[in-house]
Amino acid sequence: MNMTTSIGLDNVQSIVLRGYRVHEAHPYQHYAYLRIADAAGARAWLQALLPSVTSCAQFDDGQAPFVLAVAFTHAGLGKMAVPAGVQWPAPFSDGMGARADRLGDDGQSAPAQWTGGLGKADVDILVSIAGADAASIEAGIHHVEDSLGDAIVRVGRDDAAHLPDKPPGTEHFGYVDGIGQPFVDGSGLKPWRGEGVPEKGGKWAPVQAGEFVLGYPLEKGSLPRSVHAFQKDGSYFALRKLAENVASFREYLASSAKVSGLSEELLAAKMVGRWRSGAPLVLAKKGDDPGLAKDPSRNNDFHYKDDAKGHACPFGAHIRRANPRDDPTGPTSLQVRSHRIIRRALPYGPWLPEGTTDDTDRGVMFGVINADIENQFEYVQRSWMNASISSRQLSVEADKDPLVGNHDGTGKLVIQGATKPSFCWDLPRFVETRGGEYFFVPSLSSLAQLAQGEV
Amino acid sequence: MSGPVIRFAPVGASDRLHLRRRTLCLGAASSALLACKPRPSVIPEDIGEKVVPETIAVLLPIKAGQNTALHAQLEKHVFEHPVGEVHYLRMLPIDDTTLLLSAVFDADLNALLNLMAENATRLDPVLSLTEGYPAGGAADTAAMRSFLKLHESPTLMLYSAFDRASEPAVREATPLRLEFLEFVKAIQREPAAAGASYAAFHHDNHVRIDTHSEGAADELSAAALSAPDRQNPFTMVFDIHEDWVKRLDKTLEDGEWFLDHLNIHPLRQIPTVHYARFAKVTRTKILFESVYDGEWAQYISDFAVHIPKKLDLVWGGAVGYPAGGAADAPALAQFLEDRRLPRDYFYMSYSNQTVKEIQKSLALGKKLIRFTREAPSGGERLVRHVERFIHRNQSLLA
Repeated sequence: MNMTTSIGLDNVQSIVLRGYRVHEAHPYQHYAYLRIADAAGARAWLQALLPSVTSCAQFDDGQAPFVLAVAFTHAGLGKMAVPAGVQWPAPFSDGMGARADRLGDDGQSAPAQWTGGLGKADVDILVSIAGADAASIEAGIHHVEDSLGDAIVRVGRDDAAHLPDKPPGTEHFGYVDGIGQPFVDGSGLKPWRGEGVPEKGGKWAPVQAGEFVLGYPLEKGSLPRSVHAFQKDGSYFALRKLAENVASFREYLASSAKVSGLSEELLAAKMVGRWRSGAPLVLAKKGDDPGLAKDPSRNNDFHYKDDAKGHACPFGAHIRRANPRDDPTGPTSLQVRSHRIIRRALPYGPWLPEGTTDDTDRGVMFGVINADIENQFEYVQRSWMNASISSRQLSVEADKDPLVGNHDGTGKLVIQGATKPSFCWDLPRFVETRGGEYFFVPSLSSLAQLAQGEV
Repeated sequence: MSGPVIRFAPVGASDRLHLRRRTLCLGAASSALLACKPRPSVIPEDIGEKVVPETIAVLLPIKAGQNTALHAQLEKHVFEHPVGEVHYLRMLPIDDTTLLLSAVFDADLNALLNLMAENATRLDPVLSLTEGYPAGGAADTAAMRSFLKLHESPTLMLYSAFDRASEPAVREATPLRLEFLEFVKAIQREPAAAGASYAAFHHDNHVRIDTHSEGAADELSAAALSAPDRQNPFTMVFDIHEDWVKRLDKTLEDGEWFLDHLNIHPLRQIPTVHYARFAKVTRTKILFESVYDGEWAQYISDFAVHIPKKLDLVWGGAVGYPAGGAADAPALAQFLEDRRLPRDYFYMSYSNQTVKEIQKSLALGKKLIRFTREAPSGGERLVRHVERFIHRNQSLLA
């Protein structure tokens, strides 16, 4: 049996291990992208901000008026005094823009097309603020704005929030997002069935802490990496601004429904593997089940071994690609568990009323917590979303993730069926990248070290 | 999902079979091979007339002082003019004195010699940097044959993911499947025009469908020669301990026998390996080459996770092999990384296609022979014929 790891929850920032499950996520989110104009001034700024940085333990206390996190780009750390001998992995030192080929950020998603601050070369620091309500997020934003000056300049911002009058977690295509998350060993959270790693006998094992927090035990299939004391209790945060083309998605559903003879709702469910309510197809084969969708003790408790032919959840569906669980046609469980990610996503932009179209930019601010960018976030994106390695049943290279794949209009989704298969043909790109960056989220003690300029 | 196709020879049909089976059940190494349970995967079934893939590995002595010049030559695009029937070819120096040239091709060495002759203008500057290269260069196919044969190194085992499909059959399988899918799309969108859609599909593709039974070569697209990171060659040279020499020979021989006779092989469990081969450099120096899809880390992980014990059977007696065997994935990765040779020149006739893509396309191509034979010319009957076909073969379409 695994020994449970003890994570330094008073040293790990809460953005790493708290508030990521849909029913625990704060409904308001603000990201400020900051440039360091003067290193000494930046240290003083950080020193002053330190008491507001929220640890996991403080998050659990629930006393903080807002939840605040500080993270750095590689360039940003270069301007601070980082101890000698700290090594940074290539994706982080290269930055997300330089990894566009791997991430499928091409065409309209290419870094050259990115708008706004995220992903621009002058971003050194990310400050993330989450709030339980509008007043809380405003207080947090003011708190950070008041701290800025000549030494630290804001070069961009993004704001996201739950959509009004929609169930928490709903994104612009209408799906409740953020349900399937890993349960982290030693995180101190209550595990829900289905959040961990499937084991024999229907059990779920937690994912090892080192997959998300540097300096802790890894899953058996993961390659070891050296972790400097400065990096311990830290993590990497991949932040992306993903625009959703809602009108094109709705149009596509309508036209595909006509060709396939399936209803739009069923097609939408087959593309993702869950009904838009969040109820998983493997458990809700016959129709949507809103009660199941809302119940965290059940909405993740399913196995693909119970759907070996893909008749409930297609092999190419979004959630089957993103986390193949125990899919008998998929990678081994050893491989699946070393590629897990924690997701934090909230919508930006207004909801598009049914039957209308507009030019408003809308989508999700999508964040990923992982300890090994290349083997977790980038791997899932590259090998499972935009390629066919998540299942032996998938082999047409153009057929990428139907919802988020970087399609060029030639890919399709085969919807396996007991009586006949159905198809979504000529998938366009529904989701485009508007910006993105990799950040290192230091521990509170390492933030203090940076603030003091100690090397 | 289709299971692997296992073709058993009739019991007692061959003395060798009997003998081998008994030996295998007794031998510890071999029983592990027997115990290899095939994971669900799509293995191509018989593809019409079969061609046994042939292979050659030659070790050419590099002329003194020509190392740098050779590397520079290898950076150029050598095989501008593809010729059918050669699956892949690679050239790289395995040390300062030896250039490896190896290839897998259909039927006999003529296919390889033709490819070389067609590309003599660019190949001669490379190979003339090796000792004894024929004065007439690659255009002199008779002299080339002798030259290659003189330096040939014994192949211990050749594995192919594509059973014994010919190079044109493999190359054309994926485009054929894509064309078929276009036809299915057209018929679903406009069932009333089913007859016309089918006529167009059949007109454009009947040669490809026949390729599955005839193995006919046709024009290659030069674009297929650029190898993006969808396919990658891996080449390593490793030393084995003296007491491992016979054991390795036996293990690889058994492995090849299983592949030939039962179509079972541990590598069948790795869905990303196109080819793998072992050849002898010297008695205790072994060359391993493979062609795999995707990323290096994934490739190593697949080996370590799926068939660690089989790897131990082959590499267990290698100098520097991890004490914990292949199950120690990081140590295995380091062992392979340390002995991995740089990529240099790599030619693949279907370099944009993955193993799974080719295997499923080959399987579909074979089924299309009957599909086209029985297809009504149009109307409701044709629509139903297509529907039945895609229902039965849905696992080959995703």
